[in-house]
Amino acid sequence: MQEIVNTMLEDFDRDPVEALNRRPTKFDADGQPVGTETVFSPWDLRAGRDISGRDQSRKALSMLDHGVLIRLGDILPGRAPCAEADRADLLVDRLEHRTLAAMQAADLSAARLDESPWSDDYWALYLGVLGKRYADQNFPGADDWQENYDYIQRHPARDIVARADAGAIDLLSPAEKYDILVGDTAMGLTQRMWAEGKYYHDHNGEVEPWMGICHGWAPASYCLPRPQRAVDVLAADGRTRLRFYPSDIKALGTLLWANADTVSRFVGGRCNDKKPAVDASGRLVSERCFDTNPGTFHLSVVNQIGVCRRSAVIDATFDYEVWNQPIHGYRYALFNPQTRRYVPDLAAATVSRTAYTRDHFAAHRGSAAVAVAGVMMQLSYVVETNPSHALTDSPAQDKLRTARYLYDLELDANGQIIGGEWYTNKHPDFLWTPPPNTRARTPADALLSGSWAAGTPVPEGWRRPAWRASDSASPSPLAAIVEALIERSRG
Amino acid sequence: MRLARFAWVTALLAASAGCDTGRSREQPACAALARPFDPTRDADYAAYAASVARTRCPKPWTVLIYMAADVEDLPAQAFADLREMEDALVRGGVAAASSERADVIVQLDLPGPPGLRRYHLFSRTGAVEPVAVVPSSPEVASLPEAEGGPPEQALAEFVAWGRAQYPSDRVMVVLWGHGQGWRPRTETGERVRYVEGGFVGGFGFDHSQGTVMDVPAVAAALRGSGDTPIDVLVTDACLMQSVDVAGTLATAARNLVGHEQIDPYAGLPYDRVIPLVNGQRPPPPHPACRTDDEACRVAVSLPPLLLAPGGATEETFVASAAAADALSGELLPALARLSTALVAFLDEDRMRSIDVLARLASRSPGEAIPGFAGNTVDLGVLLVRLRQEAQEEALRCASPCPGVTGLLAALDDSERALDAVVLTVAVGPAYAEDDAYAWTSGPLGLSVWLPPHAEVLAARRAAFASSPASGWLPWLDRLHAAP
Repeated sequence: MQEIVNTMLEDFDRDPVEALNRRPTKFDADGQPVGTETVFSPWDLRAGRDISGRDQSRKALSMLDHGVLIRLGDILPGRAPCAEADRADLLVDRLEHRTLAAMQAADLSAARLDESPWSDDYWALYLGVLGKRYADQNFPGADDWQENYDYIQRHPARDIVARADAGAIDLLSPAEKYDILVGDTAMGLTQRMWAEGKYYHDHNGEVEPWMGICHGWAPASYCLPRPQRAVDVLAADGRTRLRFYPSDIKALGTLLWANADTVSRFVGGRCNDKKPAVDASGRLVSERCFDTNPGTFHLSVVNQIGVCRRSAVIDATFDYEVWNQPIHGYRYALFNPQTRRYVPDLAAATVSRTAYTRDHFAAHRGSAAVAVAGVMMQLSYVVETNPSHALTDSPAQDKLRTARYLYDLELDANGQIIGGEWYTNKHPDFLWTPPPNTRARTPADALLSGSWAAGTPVPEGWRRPAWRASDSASPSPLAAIVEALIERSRG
Repeated sequence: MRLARFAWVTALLAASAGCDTGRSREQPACAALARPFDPTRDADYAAYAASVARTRCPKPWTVLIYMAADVEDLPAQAFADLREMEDALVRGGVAAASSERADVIVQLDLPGPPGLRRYHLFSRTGAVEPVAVVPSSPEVASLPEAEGGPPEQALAEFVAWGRAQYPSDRVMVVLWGHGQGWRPRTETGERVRYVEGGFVGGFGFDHSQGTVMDVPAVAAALRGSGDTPIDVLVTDACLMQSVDVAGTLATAARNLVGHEQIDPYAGLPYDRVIPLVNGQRPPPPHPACRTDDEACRVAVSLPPLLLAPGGATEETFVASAAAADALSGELLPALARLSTALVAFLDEDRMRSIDVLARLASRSPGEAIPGFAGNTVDLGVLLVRLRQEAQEEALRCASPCPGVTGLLAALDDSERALDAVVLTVAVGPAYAEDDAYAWTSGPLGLSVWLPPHAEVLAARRAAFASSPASGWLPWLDRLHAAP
């Protein structure tokens, strides 16, 4: 850590403006740097779709405040009083430690969740979302939504089931298997999956490749237990055998979370400036693009991961590699902001405002800050993987990435973290999570009665609600079925 | 200094004492009406007021702007709007302040100094240069804020005073400040306190006093201000053009102009608003207005000003002009009937609630019901989405389905009523280009409360039960009821 911190600080010393604008390198689980990984095409990036796309997704998040559901998209500049949304207590399950001293005393300079959130696909719209026959070697997987859709039309699942071709049935998409499971002859969920891309194809002539449901995967990956083994079930027709692989079950869980009307807790706001202004120091000028403040970030990560032992989702507007990634762990080291060198303890890392004579961000310091301490955090998070017909799933199959963030923290007279400055503009600027024990459900789940016994088809009384939930404006599998599949996969 | 300002008020009142308000302004005494305040000629405002004998000489219009800017983020906006009016002429535009046809009177409440100040706005003349004092127009009065009284008292006193001191054929009142939509009458009758950050509803947030006005109190304050309704009531504030808020304000005004979404900080372009009434740019005819109804023509001209170049600074606005009588007499009863029809529709097949609830959560283009802050949605968009539901059910339903046909009829009824109420609407590009509004005509200008969760309904149902649109609630109860 010492060498890493010193190297990063030397870089910053050499050219602060260049360092501020550099995209942090990502590392794999072995600490090796990895190449660029992003769902955005070079054309998307040139058009700024990495900014506008994530803003579109982010503004649908909502929190409940005194009986009013506040969507992030509702918070607009104007003549309505709005709450300040950059406080760690708005995110974390419990804000226990507010000072670096308390964090050090609690041995929280590093923490890692017992099990990583599970990796999964982002289920792109141009590939049909959950209608993608990912295991079918003949599925085109083309950039063109129409080509992929045409393949499904030429080889409809109903025909495959009618032929009782077990091999071909096994290669069907997660949505198709679900429709067959619940006896939906209209293939409602599958139809809806393809309709998601069809709108954009018909209106814009293309389905942008970044469009998907990562906003469902990220919370599902730690709010739903990991499916561990493939599950064999009997379809509603009483004859057809269906195998749901861990990837299929994850897909259904991801869609459930993408479309369920759950609330979230979040810090940070929206920034849709494609080229936000920076000042002479290279720092972002716009507060809404600067946030989340490093103080809020540090308090959030340490308390949520280290204390509460539950993940949260990070988003970095100006880093196209980081979009809705669930956190797995962190490790931080300290540095002295005046000497810009690694130090082993908090006392050596803390510089009073009066002694801090080479403050690159002096113009931006909060008036209540009496001291500043330097931090380098190594944050590890989970990224997407391609679905497969692997019969089992475990943390070993997850894909982890690590990014290093350099920042300082402003401390008040009591040592409480009250702010700070980022040493990179491409930092996580938005964190969110569903509240603890949140369960994603469809409206149809409220109408179910009875239970689904192993070895039997889905109960008759579940089917019609399932069809309605599939063919609705928020198409989704029943939570009861997703949860049952997960339970059986772990049993 | 304060004594001197009170002296102006006293002089003004003395000037009006015993006057014959029925006299025509053609009388020789009214000839001075065209004369603006002139600091080189008038010793002070009282002297000016005495010379023009305003209370005996009605003008065609009086504009009363109640600026509730006692919130940290609003003074700069207040000054900007005052400059828009005072400086329009020197910036090369047309005069946007008082004239022979209209007086523009402002009551300004700022975080500091304490108290309320009233100004009579006149166009500034001379070279374009930074103004040291804002506003540059004469101060008519400086008043203490009543400690402990209801917050609407200041509004009631200002509008009543303005209408008495500046009599006119027509009155426009502008409620300027922070708005948060529906807030019911406070049962205790105590001053309404609010918690900063929470969504509590109301208008005129005042940080110094820690108060906000509830909507019925605003309406009562306006109703008590004169013998006739306000001709044009403008809420230059967020979230006030809902059926609950506008339905309440409709008891005090004939035409209602406001925002169903966040009102961008810059608000209305006052350098274009005032010329509609001060003779500079009279409002053109409009098919929604009778030829002789100038107030209607002014009202319908206001929302489109936001769409004109330089009109709005943000892309996120939805402003409309609404007819108060149609709102009270047609739309509110139609919404109650629609609610009854929706209950019957949902009762006919329990599965239908799945579709409607899924639509509330939907993000899909052509399916979603995008909303505004405070869990309101545009009524026009909602009617389209409900019609989609009814039409899909009509295809599913093999046997006679009175719930479906009843809903379709009620939707026709509500659409007709909405059409009669909304005179004009101006929609910002953020909504005009939003895929979520696909297959609708976009926001139509009036919003309605649509709680997406049972928890949200439970939390605020009691608050909405006293709204004039409470007939809307039964179907929400049915939708969110546990099976």
